[in-house]
Amino acid sequence: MLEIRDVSKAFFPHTVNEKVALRDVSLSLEDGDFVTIIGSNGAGKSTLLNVVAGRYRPDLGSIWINGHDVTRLSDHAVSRYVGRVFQDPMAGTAPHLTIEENMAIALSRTKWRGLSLGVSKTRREIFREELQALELGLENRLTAKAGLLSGGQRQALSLVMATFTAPSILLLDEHTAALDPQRAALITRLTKETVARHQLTALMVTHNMDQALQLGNRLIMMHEGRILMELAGEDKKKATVNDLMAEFGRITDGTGLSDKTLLS
Amino acid sequence: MAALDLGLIFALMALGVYLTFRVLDLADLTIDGSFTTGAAVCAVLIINGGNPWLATLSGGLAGLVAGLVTGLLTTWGKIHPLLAGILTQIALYSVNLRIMGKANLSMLRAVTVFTPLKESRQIGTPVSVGVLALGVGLVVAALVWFLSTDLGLAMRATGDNEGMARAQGINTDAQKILGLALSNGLVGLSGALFAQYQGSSDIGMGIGLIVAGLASVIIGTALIPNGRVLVTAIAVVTGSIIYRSVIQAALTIEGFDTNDMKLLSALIVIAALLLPRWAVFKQIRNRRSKQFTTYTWDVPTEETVDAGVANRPSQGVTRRMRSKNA
Repeated sequence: MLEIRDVSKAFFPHTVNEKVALRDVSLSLEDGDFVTIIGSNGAGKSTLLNVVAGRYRPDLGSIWINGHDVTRLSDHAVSRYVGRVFQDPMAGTAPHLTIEENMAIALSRTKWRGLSLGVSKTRREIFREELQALELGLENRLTAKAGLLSGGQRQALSLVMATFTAPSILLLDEHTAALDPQRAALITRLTKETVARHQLTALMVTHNMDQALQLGNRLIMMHEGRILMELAGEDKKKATVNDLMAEFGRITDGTGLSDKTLLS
Repeated sequence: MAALDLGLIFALMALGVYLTFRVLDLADLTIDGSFTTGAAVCAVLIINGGNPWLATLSGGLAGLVAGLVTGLLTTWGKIHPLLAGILTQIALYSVNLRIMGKANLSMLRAVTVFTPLKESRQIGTPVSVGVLALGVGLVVAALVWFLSTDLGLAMRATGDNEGMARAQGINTDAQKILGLALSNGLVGLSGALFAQYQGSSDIGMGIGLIVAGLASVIIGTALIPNGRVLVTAIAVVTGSIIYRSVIQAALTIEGFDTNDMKLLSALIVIAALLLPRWAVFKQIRNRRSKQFTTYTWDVPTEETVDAGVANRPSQGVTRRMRSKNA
């Protein structure tokens, strides 16, 4: 369960370059909620994710995960609760470590890292089982360096690493944006399956409206640091890309429509 | 044989450099100071009648503390690792003088860990080489084991992809402090052993040592390029031995004396860095690995790679292929 309470965040405060990224944002996710976030560039979507992850500390407001106040924790401490997949496929794995070593690091995300063997026989079985679900054949390449994988494969591996330890919150930051359409579709499908399989609570930023409608049970639209509208349940299921575009144009008086990035 | 002895003693230092330079991806200049600190602490304890083994261990611990200081400066102090290392190193110069009381301490009559070998005139023979190789082998085994544990993997991830490490809940600052401490502990241990081997501890013995350490790592990994930790650790030890042998060989050339050693070490490192880039050597390497050459039609497409049907060619192969097409 995630609660974002009245969070505000400004970059370069009190300077001419001041940029308010989040204004009084409140959002609460029940267990099992999968919320997709859309919005134009600079709407504060990624900032919101980074605030939840502990990368940025909010100027005002607080973040609560499972009833714990994590507002003042550093990012590696918040990682106890949070699994992340980044936009850059290279960002989620250590390239010079093997697939199984990467998995071992992910396995210990919530644990004390001691002097027990990172990749043991029993652990290797767990890794193999988890990778099998991807159907990419990665389970047969456990000792290959993660850096040798293609972008799509690395992103799939990142997804498994972020999810198989059942984090309280899964954060997906445009994690298909750097892939070509085919592999983006693959990762989208895997995301859907993985979230369902582990019954995760997830927050996903995307530029792709189709994807935003296709995934999750709730959708929120952000603009200039605010949450403008939310769709949930049946409303979200019925909505189309055109509906979203029209709604966005109405709310922003057409100023947002010129933004090419919104047209996925 | 003396070169082998020295190469093995300095291999401990090279392993320390490997830990920071390759595993943590930090250039740590502390070692110029911590090497001497290890030697100084060990020498003082031995001269005052201490157990040579405990003295050696204390030398390692002193190095560990020095590394801890650099680690705290880089993480808590947020000082650039290079500068933090230089600061600790300079501070250690005075500290080392304080420990020793003067610029040079002789241990010629004291009992050291090498005394049994010296008395039976086995220094510089296969016996001493074997004993040292055994010791270094144990350290290599311990290091390789450590790097395969949960903690060691966290350290490797910290050097490989810090953002990923933090996202996986790794306290990268703590890892850097631990890595720098362990690395300098090995360097201090190496200094303690070297001081006992040559029978004295000298305030200037650590100057420019980082060059020797880097040379060992670079030579070793250039000759035995393999990502596996065990192979790389052995390669670093080999690099250290080669480096010492080259220095020894160069010193026998007419006109060179020990004063030229620092110049020689710098030249060796420059050569080790530049030679692999020169076309002539590239061709030799290409010819040697002809059996691995792939042609354009062998390279799987992105689709087949993603579907898991085929493996992506290793980067080395792709690079060679590119130079072939060019």
